[in-house]
Amino acid sequence: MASLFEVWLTGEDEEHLTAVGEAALDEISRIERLFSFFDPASEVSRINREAADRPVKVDVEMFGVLSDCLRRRGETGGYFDITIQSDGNIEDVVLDATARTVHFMSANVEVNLGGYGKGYALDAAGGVIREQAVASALLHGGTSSILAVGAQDDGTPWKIGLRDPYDESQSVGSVDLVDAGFSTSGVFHASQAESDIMNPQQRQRLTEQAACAVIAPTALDAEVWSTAFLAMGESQARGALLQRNASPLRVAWLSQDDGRTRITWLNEEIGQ
Amino acid sequence: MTYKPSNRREFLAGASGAALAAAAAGAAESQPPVRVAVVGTGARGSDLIRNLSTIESAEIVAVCDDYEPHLLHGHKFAGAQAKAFDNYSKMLKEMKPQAVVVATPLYLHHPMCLEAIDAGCHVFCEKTMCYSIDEARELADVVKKRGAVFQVGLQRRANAIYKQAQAMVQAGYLGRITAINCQWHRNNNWRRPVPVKRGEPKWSALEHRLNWRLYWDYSQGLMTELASHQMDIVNWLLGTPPKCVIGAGGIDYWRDGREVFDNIWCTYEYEVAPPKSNAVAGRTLDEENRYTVRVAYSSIQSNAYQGASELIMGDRGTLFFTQQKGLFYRELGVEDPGWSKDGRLDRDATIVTSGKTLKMSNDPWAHRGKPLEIDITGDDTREELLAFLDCVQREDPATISDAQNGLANTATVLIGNEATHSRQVTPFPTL
Repeated sequence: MASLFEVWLTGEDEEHLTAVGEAALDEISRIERLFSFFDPASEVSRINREAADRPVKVDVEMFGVLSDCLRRRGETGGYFDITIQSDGNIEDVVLDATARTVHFMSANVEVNLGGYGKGYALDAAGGVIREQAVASALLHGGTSSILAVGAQDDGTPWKIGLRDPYDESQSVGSVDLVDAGFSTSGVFHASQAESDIMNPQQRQRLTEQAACAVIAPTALDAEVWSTAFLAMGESQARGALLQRNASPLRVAWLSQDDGRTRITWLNEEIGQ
Repeated sequence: MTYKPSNRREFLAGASGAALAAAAAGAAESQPPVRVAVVGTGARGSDLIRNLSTIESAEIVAVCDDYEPHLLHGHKFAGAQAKAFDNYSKMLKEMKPQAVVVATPLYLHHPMCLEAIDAGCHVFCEKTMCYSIDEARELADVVKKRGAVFQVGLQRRANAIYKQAQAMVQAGYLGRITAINCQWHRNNNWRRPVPVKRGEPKWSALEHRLNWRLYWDYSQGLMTELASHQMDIVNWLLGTPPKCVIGAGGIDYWRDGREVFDNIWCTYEYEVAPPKSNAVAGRTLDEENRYTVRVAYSSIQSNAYQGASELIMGDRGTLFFTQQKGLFYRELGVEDPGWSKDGRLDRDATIVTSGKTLKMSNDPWAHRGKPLEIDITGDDTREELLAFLDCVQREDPATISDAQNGLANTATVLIGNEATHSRQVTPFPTL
């Protein structure tokens, strides 16, 4: 993850809010320590180091996360894939629920929770905040993933401005969030020839400039789906959304038309 | 210089090879897992539970806490096979665990460790070992008499960075250690959220339970909660506990009803006999040439500029540690230690460039040269638990931080508090 996380809390008791804010940030650090791809002390590093040699026993939380990642891979038609940055294949990641182990069937495979961790950490921190009876909060990770807890203290929704991905000095609108997650993914910026995001079907980096924003019930849903939709491309994303009848996701596509940036809410287009 | 690592890579391999061999020996015996119970399932306890749950040589049979939200949290990490208890004595009696992990507030360490040992258990006790030196003395005594396997959770002893640093000090890389600075600086109120508002009837009891670190009845403040880790490293590297300490501290920033100091500054004096390997040509360094090393320790809660770090200063080199990274810098101006000029390709990792080059450099840190970086290889909490379980399986009382070390560590940090309270030079007690 290695992103900047920030937390806004509203309420009256500053001492309590400060303690809650620290607890929320502690929760994010805890998850970052477990999920980091680069920190040799993380659980993900331990798994990547050892799981090709033998089944690696993992904790309840990590097993849940890996299971969820495999489930979401199916749900997104393969467009969310935690092994995509490695030379291996996700079929080589074998989970055993009884022994609570993960085993790699190939030495080439590695898992990377980079496209998952920010959303997961925001939701977990949001849980800490709600547990401590703070009703109004906004959290973000690297400004690309956001979680709104409740609304603002005056009852109005949290308002999030969207930066124009084609002209970073401009805003192209805003979204309102109440108890919702939000995430943007993009193939950018202008000087960048290809994205960090890969198309798992073609195993290639995305090259066509586009951006996708998703509002979802949780920050994790938003993060996973914004990445998956972007990898699919606009028309396939529209199709996937159609298939998911009455989906709680709201999906915006940002593209350029005659030099002007256009936001298309795919849900509206398909009458959802 | 008696120890001559032929190159950096071999040296690194040598340091970690021993640990690998030990781990392999433990696994080869393929004993049944150790039946472990954990008492105290707050933040630290839950992290210990989580780590234990990833270790094949441990089976978490029970978790215990008398604060229900914490118990539920810890139980979730322990897994369904573990039984949850709100009563410690009942848990010991009913589950008869082989080993108990104690992660309760400091004031409970002594009674809970004694009860576990009395029930025939081996014990892993979080740092600091005891609330008072008298308690620590008694506990160390009982551990010895009963032959229990006992380990204090001073996990830097299991951290690859500190293990290699210790080897480097032994090998003379730093020359003679002359001064040490340790600090744990943070910029927050060190408070955990309390689920009811200040002033409500239940607030006081919950505040004391959850923010026990802030009150003298349960805690010894920054010295036991933070300094204990770093002062353990100091005692380890210098090979001895301190002689005496002076201290100053107070509550100067967080005047929120807390009792323990929110900033403390201690200066320790150590009397050190130089290891033979440090002998330098033209200088006799033996028992008669014992010298004093001063160690400055500070912990504050209103500025986090340098975080938690330790700076070990020797006349030939410097070690700078954080828990994630160790850096070694050579000093200029001392005689050529030989190993730096053996024509190895990787010598730039350990040698400072020549004086001429340095004069031309515009790098403000150039006098320190390019540091040798020492990296962690795994999570030190997991490593310390692996080491403990290995000792339990072999019934070997020589843990990486046994009760005697726990006693010395307790006394080291508590004389810092004592000196701060009394404003007197406070000697290290006879243990």
